[in-house]
Amino acid sequence: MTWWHGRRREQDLDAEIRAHLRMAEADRVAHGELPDDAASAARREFGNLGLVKEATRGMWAGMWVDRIAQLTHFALRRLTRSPGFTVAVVASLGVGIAADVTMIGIADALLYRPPAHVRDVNRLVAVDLSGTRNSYPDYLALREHADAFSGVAGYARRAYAMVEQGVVTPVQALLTSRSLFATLGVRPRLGRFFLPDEDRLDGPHVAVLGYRLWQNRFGGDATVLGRTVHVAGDEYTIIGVAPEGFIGAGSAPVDLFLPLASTKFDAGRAAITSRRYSWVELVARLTRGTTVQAARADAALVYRRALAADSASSNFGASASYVAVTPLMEARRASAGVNGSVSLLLAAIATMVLLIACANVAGLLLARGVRQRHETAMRAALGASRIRLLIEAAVDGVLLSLAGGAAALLLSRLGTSAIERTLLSDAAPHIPIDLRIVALTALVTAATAVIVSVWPAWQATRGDPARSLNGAARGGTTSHLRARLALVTGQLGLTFVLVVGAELFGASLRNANDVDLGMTLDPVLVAQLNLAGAGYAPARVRAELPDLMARLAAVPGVIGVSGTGAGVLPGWMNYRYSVPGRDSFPAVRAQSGLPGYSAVTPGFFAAIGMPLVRGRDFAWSDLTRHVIIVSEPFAKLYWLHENPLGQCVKVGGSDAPCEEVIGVSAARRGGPTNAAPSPEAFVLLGSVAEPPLFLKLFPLSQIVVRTRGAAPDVASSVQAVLQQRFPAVPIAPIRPALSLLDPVMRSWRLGADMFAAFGVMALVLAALGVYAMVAYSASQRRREVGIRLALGATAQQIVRLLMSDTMRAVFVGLVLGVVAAFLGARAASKLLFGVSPAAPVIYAGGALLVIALALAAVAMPAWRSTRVPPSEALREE
Amino acid sequence: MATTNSAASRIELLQGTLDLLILQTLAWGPQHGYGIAQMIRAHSGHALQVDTGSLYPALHRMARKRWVRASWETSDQNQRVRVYALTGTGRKQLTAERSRWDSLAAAIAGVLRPVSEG
Repeated sequence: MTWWHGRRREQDLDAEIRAHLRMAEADRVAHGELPDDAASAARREFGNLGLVKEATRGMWAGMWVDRIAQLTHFALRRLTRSPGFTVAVVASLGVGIAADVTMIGIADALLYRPPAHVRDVNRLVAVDLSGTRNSYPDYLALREHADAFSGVAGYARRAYAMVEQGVVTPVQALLTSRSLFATLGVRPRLGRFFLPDEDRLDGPHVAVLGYRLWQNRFGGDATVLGRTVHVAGDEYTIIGVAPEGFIGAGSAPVDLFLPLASTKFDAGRAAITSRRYSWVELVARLTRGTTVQAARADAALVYRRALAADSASSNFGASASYVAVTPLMEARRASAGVNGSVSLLLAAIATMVLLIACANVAGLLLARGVRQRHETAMRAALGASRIRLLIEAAVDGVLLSLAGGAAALLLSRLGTSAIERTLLSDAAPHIPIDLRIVALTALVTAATAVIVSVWPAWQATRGDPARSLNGAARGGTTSHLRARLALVTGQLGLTFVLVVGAELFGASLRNANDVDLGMTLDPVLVAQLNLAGAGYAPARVRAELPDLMARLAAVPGVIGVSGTGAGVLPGWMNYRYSVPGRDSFPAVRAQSGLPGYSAVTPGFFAAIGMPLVRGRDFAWSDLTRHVIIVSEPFAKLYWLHENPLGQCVKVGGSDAPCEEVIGVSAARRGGPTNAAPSPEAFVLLGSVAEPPLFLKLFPLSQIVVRTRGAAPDVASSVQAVLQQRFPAVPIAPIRPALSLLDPVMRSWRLGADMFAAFGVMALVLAALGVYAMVAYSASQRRREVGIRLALGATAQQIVRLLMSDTMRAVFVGLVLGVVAAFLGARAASKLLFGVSPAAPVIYAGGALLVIALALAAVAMPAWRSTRVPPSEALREE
Repeated sequence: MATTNSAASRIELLQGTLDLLILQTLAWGPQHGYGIAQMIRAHSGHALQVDTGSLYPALHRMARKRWVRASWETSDQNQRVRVYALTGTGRKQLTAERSRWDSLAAAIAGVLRPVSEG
């Protein structure tokens, strides 16, 4: 039914009625009435023109479309007549809904949403045979012999560099068995996945591109199949493209899928043939009807048999006593850890922001309803049905909410991608705007529409129109003011909760940052290399180390450089030490856990800002000498107050040779949550002091570079030197060494940033709400203010009068807020660091902020109302 | 005024009977809304006054159901008027409504008679 068609029908009806009236008039004149009398009599006899038309229109086909169009048309006209109001409402709703949908979307992606493109996720389980990942032979045993599973897939994540036509791109690679795709039930977007022959030791080098990499690096070119790229130093042929968003069974982004067995891994061929290397994660699909318990029993049985058949396995204490089979979604939730809890907390917080926004909108609509009370009452008196007026108000609300919802979709898209990029860059998968989120937006919007539009309309049309008409000029009723005060009270309470949350997380982050780790990691860069298994003979790497370090030290802006065998931070590796005559000391025996082990090149302590308190650093001339550097806790553990220099430490056990202590480093720890610095020892990388196994496994994996100030181009120069030296080796992008601490700092940073963002939103929204309410009530009381001023009241008295109600709401809100904030903080106290959930300073600070804001928002309109000359205010009525 | 008296003696139309009256009126020939109202009034000896608030909705509803067809014509006073004419479906509907009315009237008469006799 077109608008035009409706218009014509409307004109026809008018003409029909006009004709009726004219004929009736003519008949009356013919019967002798005067023309003027006849006309009005005909009108009277006809009845209520509008009602007749309305009733007739009701009979037309397709009328509901026209009626909705008409209602919408009128509503749009009403809304565009007051643009300020409309913008305020749409912005409030947009921000509130966007915050909520964004955070719920992130929590959902981290905790509840199955990985993209995975079929029937409820039958997928994560399998862990030993508690520390699984070996490749174990994966094969499970795949071949476990009847509980219809499919078993193994995978491992690695950060590599991809070289294509001279351009190095860092990629997140998923080394995966061919069975992954079938087990998860995914089809390629382009080309194909691996063939059986491509998933074996020494198989051909083939690669499947992740959708993101295909788009960003290859422009979504369909002819990409068959092209070759260099990954981890080897040439790979692209055979397929994964569908958009597919990341396997994990939750982090994947750029490239490589065959699990045919690819080089850190430990070389042994990683495929030996049970000694646990590096494979397992996901399996339960056969129909199999329970998780039954699957666990089956997996344990298969594992026990496999171990019994493998004579080498007893050498390293493998046993089948652990074996865990966990539903995949549960395993994902567990691995989301603190990020998951923080995101849930933030989703709750964002819901508060939405509530605050809704309170604002309700307040604005309520005020508008009261302003229009006169008009509404007039229309009700003229015969407009109450239903019609309520429906009109509801249409206003629905339109406003739809606009708010549209704005929210846009904002949440921006917000989600911003959070993905910054705060969760390596923790969250790509979060697409999916239909469930859209449905959620619609639901939230619709609920909001019902709350904010119909209630004020109900209020405005309640009671006797004649009385409303009389009272309309005098403005808001007390029930309306009470409702608005209640809204403002709630807003301020919620705002206070958010402010306290921001303070608590901010303090946690500051505390965590302030913890002295014993190192100064700024400005320090770290490069990660993956030399092991990339075809580089460890001996050759060692031989080139002095030259490489010298070359890096020569890069402009570099003031310190050092390479490490395993990792920069303590805790990468622990090892057994023996000190002749001291091993039986009670303190040594009581020590829980092994001391740390690091192999480093000369200059390590200067590069990470960790001072040597005694003795000297390594020099390249020490390569052939048996020397060692220990940390202060290590020295204290074995020699207490004796001089450790010159003492003997055996690395690996009592049958190892003596290493002479030449230096003592300060104490350090790996993160703010580590209770105390643990003992550790350092050997010179590539020297005779290094155990031969480590020499083979960890020839050189991280390089730290201390720069002079923040030097942005140093990173690319260092990257260039390394890439030139090791053209075939994956080098992860160089990043600030502080980012090594990201995983431990993230929850506080996320909490502090998001709480601060939401807190500011809440403050602005609440201030708007308070301001609008006071401004409105002041305008309603102009006459009263005028009389009081005329009778000699001072401006201060007037301001106090206008502020008193609101300030009471502020204090009630604060009291409620304190209770809510305390309960919330206590529930979330595990997420805080070094700050009590009840810290008085934090609550006082938050209260001061909220009171100051409320005072400003209240005082401004109240003061302005006293500026109007009394004569003018009195004359208006 | 003449209308004051007639208003008092006016008979409320039973639900559904207006359709029958309109259809019957149109059976005698096409007519416009005003004409239909006048004819019903005349034929009922001024006892039945059709309310415009019922007449026009009824006409438009019947047009939608295709019982009547509406067309614009020029009246003898040289005025554009919308004239309604009975369609085949309308004629069938008239027969159905009439028989229903007849049986209803007979039923009501049956109820009333024993009372008046007893």
